Amino acid sequence: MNSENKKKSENMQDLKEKVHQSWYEDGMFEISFGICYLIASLIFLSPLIKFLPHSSRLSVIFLRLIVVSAIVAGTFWLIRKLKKNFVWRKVGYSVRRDYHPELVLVLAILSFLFLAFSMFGLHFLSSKIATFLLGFVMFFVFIAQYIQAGKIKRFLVLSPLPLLIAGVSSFLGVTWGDSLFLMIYILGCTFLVFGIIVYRNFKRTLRQ
Amino acid sequence: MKDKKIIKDIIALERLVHEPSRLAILTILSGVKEADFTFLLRISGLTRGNLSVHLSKLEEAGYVNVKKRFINKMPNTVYNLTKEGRKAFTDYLKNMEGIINRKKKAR
Repeated sequence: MNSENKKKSENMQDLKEKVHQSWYEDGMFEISFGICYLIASLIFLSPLIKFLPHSSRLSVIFLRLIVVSAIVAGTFWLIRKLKKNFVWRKVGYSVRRDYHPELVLVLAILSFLFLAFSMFGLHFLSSKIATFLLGFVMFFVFIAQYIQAGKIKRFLVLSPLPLLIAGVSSFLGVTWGDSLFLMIYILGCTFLVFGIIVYRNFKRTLRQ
Repeated sequence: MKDKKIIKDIIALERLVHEPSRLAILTILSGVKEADFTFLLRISGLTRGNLSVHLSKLEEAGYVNVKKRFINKMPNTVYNLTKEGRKAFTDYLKNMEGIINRKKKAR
């Protein structure tokens, strides 16, 4: 009875992971984030912001806040929209519950602190250290995503990428603004490519 | 004495939840806010008939809520766990964990 129960709980854990992995199996998460990261890199860090006069710094911060909020909301809207049109009709509909709600909370706090730091705290740190910090934050975001997604390996494989970008940016002495742009732009492209590959494989498995 | 406690815990396991197919359905539903029949069918690996019967039993017990709707003129049935269902599932897990842990300690 005991071994049967133990086996049952292991199967349940597998099933739970399968449910959480199912949200990511179609690649729509990566495609949406890829598109939104690319838009973010073009709007959030566009040269237009650099040309604004210094007196309007507060308006730039305000603009960034609006853009970041719109991008986060837009990403989740886009995921649902893409899933509704391309996935749910074929494999069934489900609305995700957070696997580790406490992890989502930590990530939200971390993101907020980082956003605040990127706007107000740059005077206290050198560009190199700030870039490294950005790399570490993004690295932890990927690790958290790996756990949250029911241990999907591709998030773990992608996790060193932000550290690599941060390292190269620091080594080349790229300014903070440009390294932020590089980070978001490269991650956006990578997400988009990964998402398309995952979606192609997903479609192939559906046909079989 | 410990064995008696384990036996008591095993008896306390709710049969409605303990059945493997229903336990699978409850495990899936505990991980989502809501899911439709096709999704449950794909993830659980059960047959249509089997899944339908077990879902009806869970619905009768008040553990699962059923919502019928139409998407592009096609019928779509959505399921989600009720408060009672979530509680029954959590209680079941606690009981089972208790049994496993006590058995480990007994060794």
